[in-house]
Amino acid sequence: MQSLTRKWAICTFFVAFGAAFVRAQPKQSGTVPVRQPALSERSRAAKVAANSPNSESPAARYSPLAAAGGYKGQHVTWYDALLHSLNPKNVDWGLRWEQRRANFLENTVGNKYFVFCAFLVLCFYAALVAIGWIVRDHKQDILYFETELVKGRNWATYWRNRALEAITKHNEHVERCNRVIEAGESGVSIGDSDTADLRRELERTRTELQNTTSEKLRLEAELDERKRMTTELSLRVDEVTKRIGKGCQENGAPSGTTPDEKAALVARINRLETALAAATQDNRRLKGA
Amino acid sequence: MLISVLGFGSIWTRRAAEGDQSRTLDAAYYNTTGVHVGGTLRNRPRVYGLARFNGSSGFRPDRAFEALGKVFECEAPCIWQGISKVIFKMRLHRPAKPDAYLVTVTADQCGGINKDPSAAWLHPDSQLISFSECRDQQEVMLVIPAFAWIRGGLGTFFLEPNAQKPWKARLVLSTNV
Repeated sequence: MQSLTRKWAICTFFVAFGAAFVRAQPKQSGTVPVRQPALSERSRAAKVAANSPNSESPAARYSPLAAAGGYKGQHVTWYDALLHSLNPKNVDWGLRWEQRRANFLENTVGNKYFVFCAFLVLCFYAALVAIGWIVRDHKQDILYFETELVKGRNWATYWRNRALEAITKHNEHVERCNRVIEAGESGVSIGDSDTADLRRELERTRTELQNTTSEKLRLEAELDERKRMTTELSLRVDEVTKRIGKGCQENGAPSGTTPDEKAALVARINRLETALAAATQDNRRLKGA
Repeated sequence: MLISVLGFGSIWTRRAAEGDQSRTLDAAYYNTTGVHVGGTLRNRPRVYGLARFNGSSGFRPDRAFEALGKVFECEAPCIWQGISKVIFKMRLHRPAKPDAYLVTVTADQCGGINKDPSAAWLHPDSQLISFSECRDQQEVMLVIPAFAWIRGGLGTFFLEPNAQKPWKARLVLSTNV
């Protein structure tokens, strides 16, 4: 039953389409597609169909368009019909596109606020990209330095171990050399107790040397001080001698002293001054003690 | 006895007269050696001793640096109840040639002092006041005469006074000994 109905519908469609095509063919060249009066023709076709039940097509019984003779009856070409099916409200898409484009341009390129905002957004994204690039670069640098640091540490550990090995070898070698030298000097090998004795002796000698050096330094300092004191005293004695000579010349007194006596006097004064200085120093030392 | 102060230990303590903690003239300030242990100064003594400064001498611990290179009249260093002591009684108004020097040496300065008792590390005329030690840290307070020596890990240091200003001296590392 269903297959029969489907066959019937297909046949009806092809018959209607063929009829429309046949009726439309002679009018193709001279006809202008008329769309607006379609409704009135449909209603008229409906009336005709209602008045004349013996129409050409069986579809006219239920389709006003078929009763009116289909698209052929309206003088509409098939591609007009196709276009009409695609655009039933007859919208002018070109005009609408043009209006949208004009609106778009007016709101984008023609709007300074939009341009400014777009510029800001672009700057923001550029800054984001720059920051990302810097962070990535920084991470790469850190990774590089970390790698180099690890390499350096590894090398340091390696060479430290090598250096310790070399130092140990060298020390052992020197120790053996020393043993050989000591054995060669004394003619016998040296045991541990002898080594300890020698070390003690060395330590004692070293301490003595340090004490002697300390004493030497102290004596040198004292000697320097004595020299300085002697120089000062000599200068004072010379000054006193000059004053005595001047005093004799001014008084007109004949100098009854010979140069030898003068020298003896000067030497005596020097001795006394030195003794005085030594006594003063001893006195200070005793006071300090 | 005249002693010139060339250095102080790290630890200071104060003892004031009873009943009046605010007066500085009656206070006594004790200085001794110390080492850092866990961020805190500890005495850790191998030899415990003190240098005492009387408040009446004009000494102020908050201005202790002013006493460096100054000469004090002191009692001779002594050992009292097992503690080495040296008392700085009065600061001289004019510097004079001292008989000894108060010196403080650390392990960083001298390379560490040998702990072996058989090895002499100090001049026989010197007096050890205090010796603190913890691991590789050492601090030693000494009263030593001029040209005395101390032996450290780096070598032997001699205390050489300044020829023009004998109250000032410094430890000189000798390369000969």
